[in-house]
Amino acid sequence: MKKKLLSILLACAMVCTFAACGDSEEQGGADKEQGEETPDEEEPAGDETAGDGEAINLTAAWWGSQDRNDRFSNAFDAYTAENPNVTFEFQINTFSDHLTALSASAASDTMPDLAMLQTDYLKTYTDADKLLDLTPYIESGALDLSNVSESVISTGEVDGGIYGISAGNNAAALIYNKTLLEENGIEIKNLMNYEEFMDVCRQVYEKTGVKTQFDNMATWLEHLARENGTSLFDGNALGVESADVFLPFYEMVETGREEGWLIDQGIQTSNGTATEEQAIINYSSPETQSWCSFFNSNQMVAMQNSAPEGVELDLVTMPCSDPSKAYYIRQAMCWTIAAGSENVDEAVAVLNWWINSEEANGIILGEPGVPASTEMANYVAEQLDEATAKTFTFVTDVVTPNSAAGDPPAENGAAQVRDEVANGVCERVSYGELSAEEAAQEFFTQGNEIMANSAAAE
Amino acid sequence: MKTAIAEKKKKPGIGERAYKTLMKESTAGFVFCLPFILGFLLFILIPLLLSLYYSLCKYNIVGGAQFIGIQNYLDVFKDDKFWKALGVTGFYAVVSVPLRVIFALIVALLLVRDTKVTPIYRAMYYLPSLLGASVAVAILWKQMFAYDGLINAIFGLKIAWLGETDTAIWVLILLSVWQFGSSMLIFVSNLKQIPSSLYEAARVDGASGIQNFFRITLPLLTPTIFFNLVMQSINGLMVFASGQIITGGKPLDSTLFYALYMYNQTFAYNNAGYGSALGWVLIVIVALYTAILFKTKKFWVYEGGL
Repeated sequence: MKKKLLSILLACAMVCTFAACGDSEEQGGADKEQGEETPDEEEPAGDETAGDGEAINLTAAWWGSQDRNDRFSNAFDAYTAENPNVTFEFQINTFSDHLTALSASAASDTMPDLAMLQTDYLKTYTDADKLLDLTPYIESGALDLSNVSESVISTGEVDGGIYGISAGNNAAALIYNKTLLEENGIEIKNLMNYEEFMDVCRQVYEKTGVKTQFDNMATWLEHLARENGTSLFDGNALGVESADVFLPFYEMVETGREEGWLIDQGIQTSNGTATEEQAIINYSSPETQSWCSFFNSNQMVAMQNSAPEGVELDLVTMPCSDPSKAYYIRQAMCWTIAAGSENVDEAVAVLNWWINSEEANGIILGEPGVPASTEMANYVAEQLDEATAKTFTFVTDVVTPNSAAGDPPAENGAAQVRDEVANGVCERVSYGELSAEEAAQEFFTQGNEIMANSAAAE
Repeated sequence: MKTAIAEKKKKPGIGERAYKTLMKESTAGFVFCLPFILGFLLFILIPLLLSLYYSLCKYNIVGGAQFIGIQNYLDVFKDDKFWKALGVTGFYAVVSVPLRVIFALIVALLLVRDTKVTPIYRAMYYLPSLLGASVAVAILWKQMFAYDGLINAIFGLKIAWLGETDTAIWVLILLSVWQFGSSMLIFVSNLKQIPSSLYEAARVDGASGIQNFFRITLPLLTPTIFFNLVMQSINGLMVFASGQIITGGKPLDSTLFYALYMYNQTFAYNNAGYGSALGWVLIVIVALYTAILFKTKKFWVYEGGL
């Protein structure tokens, strides 16, 4: 009898532990409800600043390099030091995993209170009412955007509400190996067109054997569309009328392949896509090396940090025929607040601190780009390291005078077109599977198809 | 006195009744099953039914689902990438599973003899299977076959193994074949069960080693081979991790495994409804494949007594 009773108890215990396992899945939600309980770590700190401090735990999610992770988590820790009742949990992933985690958490209504998002994805979340409209908080002054320009604010605007605040202003850039070019006496300049750019590629290849690698395919195509007077996406279709608009880019890739200066696509594919894996800094011989890379300006800092000793990177504008039409200041990365957050006021306070405080910006130091607040941009500019300073100068002095306004956030499906289609089609050109004409047509057809299909989802 | 007892039998107290129910064998049994049943309901049956429902919806995970009937299923068969992924996965399963089973059998034959060191060897050969599903091994594999990786360095080659459509899939097949451990263990235990009297009789009749193998060992192993083939084929058709981590489906979708495509559609492109439909099509395909394997059973699997 006793044995039986014991076994029943044990079984019950098992069930309980099991149930506990199930619970932890939804910890985000559970934590918020337990707000009353003070987490033990912070008890000794005392409540001098935020006073009566009801303990609040906020979750913040973002993607990025190790460098960014360190700076961001330090900044959030600094907030906790000032406001001991507010603690943070972080959800840090690579870009694609970040989106996966975010959509899964949106499905279970456990979105992180603060999440970084790209403007391309805003629409998906606002359509489902998952993000907080920040307009009332901006009007009440809880979120002080007096030092943020109208054009920057408008990039986070969807259907009349403001859902995202720029985490940093950037511009698409051609990041290049300055050391290599200087050693070989090769000139490079801002505002090059395709022909001038290809001349550089040829020179580099002839003198050193080092190749050229294309990246950020969607941005090349976007620039071509903007030069054509349209945006890449327009509603539930591509913005351009004809596939020919995209032709120049694919012709350039094809030329590179034929003339030999394009990096072997096999090598590019096996390298991987992380910032640190790019052929501009990760190579063993001229044929695996690229002299340039096409990323957002802020990413040069992470690249410079993982570059081999003695290699200095620098940046100029991406080649295009009419920069003043093609180029725009990117506020692609923005901070959002979850509509379902139980501590909305505190989350807004954190965001306000993030945007306007010298303390936060002194730690972040422009890692995701030039701070949205002009005052903070000036404050940060004085204390930058060399690489970040170059990216700031690039954004403020080179791109700003040579750019037009950005396009509004695209509809659903844009992300798939940018990621799957733009990269996939260019890959096929590099492998020699498609000619330039076929590639332009393929991107045009597939892109329109996906945009149209995604529209029906609403 | 008698009536008192009868009354007591008729109406036992609540506490007593509860105690009796609790003490029943079956109650204990149910309690022990409960963790599994709960797990099955929460993590298998309910998600399964939900995905069946979502497969009939336009559903982007983030927002609500909108019922659209069988549209997703119609789209699946019009989707080039679906056929591509199916082809890749089929090729992978058809090549890697037999290779793996044959390899497992060969190693099992070598390790069946009981000496003092064979258990150590068995453990060593099993190790890749333990590590196999892990992310760490996939990353190791990726490094080994990188352009600047170990394989090229050792053999002095300049091949972008993971960047060429001809080679990338073979790198993944090799990884799968390398993880032959679990099949091997099943073979070893079954090899040991073949009565030695059969071999003795064969020796008396003057049979050679090769005849022994083909006339005795192999026929008696066919049920085990069949079991391994079925289990590994199902796993092979559902392969995901190696494609996701090592190649990401590249180059030119030549390693785009079905499960990987399903995952991309669901999470990367937020087409969860379409992804669910892909999942159900895969279930049907796996079921058909298994059924066909079972149909072939009578032609080559020996099921008689010894």
